[in-house]
Amino acid sequence: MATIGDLVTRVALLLQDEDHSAWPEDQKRTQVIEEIQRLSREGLFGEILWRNAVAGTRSVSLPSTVISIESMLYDGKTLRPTTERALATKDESWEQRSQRPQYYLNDLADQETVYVAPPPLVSGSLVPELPPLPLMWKIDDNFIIFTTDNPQGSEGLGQECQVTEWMHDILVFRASSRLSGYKGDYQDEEKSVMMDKIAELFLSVINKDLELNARV
Amino acid sequence: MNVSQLVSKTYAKMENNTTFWTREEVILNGLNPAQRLLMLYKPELIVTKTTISLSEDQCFYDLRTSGTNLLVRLQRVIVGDATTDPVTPSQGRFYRLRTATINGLRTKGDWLKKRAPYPTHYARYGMFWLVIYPRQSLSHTLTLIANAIPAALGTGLESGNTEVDIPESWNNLLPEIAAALLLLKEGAGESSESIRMLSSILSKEDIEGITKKLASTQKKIIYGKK
Repeated sequence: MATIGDLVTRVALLLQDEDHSAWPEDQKRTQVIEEIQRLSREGLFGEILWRNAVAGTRSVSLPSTVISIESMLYDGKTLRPTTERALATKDESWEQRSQRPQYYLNDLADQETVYVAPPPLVSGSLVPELPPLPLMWKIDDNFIIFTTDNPQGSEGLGQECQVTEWMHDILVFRASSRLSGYKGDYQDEEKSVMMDKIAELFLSVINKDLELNARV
Repeated sequence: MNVSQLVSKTYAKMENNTTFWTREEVILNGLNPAQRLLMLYKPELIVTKTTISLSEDQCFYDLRTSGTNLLVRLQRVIVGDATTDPVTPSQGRFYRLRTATINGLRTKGDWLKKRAPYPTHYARYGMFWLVIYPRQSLSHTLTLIANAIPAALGTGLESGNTEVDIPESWNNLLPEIAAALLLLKEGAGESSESIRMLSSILSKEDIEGITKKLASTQKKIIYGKK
């Protein structure tokens, strides 16, 4: 599997900057990481998380890689997304009630926490299920969260790029486009625009597929 | 056609300028993305069948563990083993799962609690997850029929004799697309020529035609029309 360093090498070749004199190697690495984050924000990478429900606790922790929540289930049943304001309008004391959760709040001020309403009445089991069916821990009285995520945890040059191989071209062309578009001695606006168009050429076909899948 | 032949043909389209473009670069930034771009526009060129085994209640499957470099386009998911001839049913049945989405399943309320001996639908969540509905109360073998990405070409000289995965009749397109992509490096003037070349190779009509046809095919599958 290609590493971040391999993608940086491709960017350096495209920019005719193999000795990293125009754009330092670390700047190229940072740009590649930023393009992975940009792809993640476009909602391409989904993850399925399990979280233990604790009686009376309305907050559920999320990893820092989560971009957004697509769906959330409690005890195998779908929770409805809502906002703080809509919930307060419906029930000002929702935080103090303990019942079966029905909603989750999707206006996340804190990206690493999601709130459920009402807080659960009972705690779910922490005992793992082996083999994992369907996940390592029980679904009953616990949360399953479908998120969109940034799959790239580690960002060093030697780290494997966690984005699937056929999207590496999008990362390379976009990173090269950004770098060559920055004002300075090495700016090349036309090259920047053209490389961005090439990246969009790749992405447009992928997005058309995703639209078709989403309409099903 | 093997890698060395493709590299030679690509150089021929760039005035054999081996100084400005090294062999490594022709493969990394030319032929490999050319393969992938061609596959995105013509995914039917490489179709793979992969079997996976699901235990009872195993309704989430991480495609990263299947070892197959799958495209976005998962064509079909079949209950049973379609790689054998004749096919092998799973738990006595051989049939196709219908497509669903997580958003669509969400409307079913407690969809994750529902169980049945035989699943009826599958949903693709993001790039990596396959979700089976309802949760199966029997273990099953599934066959995933998908369009695959060709293996990346190696840059070492030892890989020179490696044949590409793309069918022979399409091999000549690879140096053309690769040359168009490599021209980007030259910057102002040549980079816009690169776009013109790609637009001509992958003509807009072809692109729209492929996606319209795909949409029409999907509708026929959903509503059962012939």
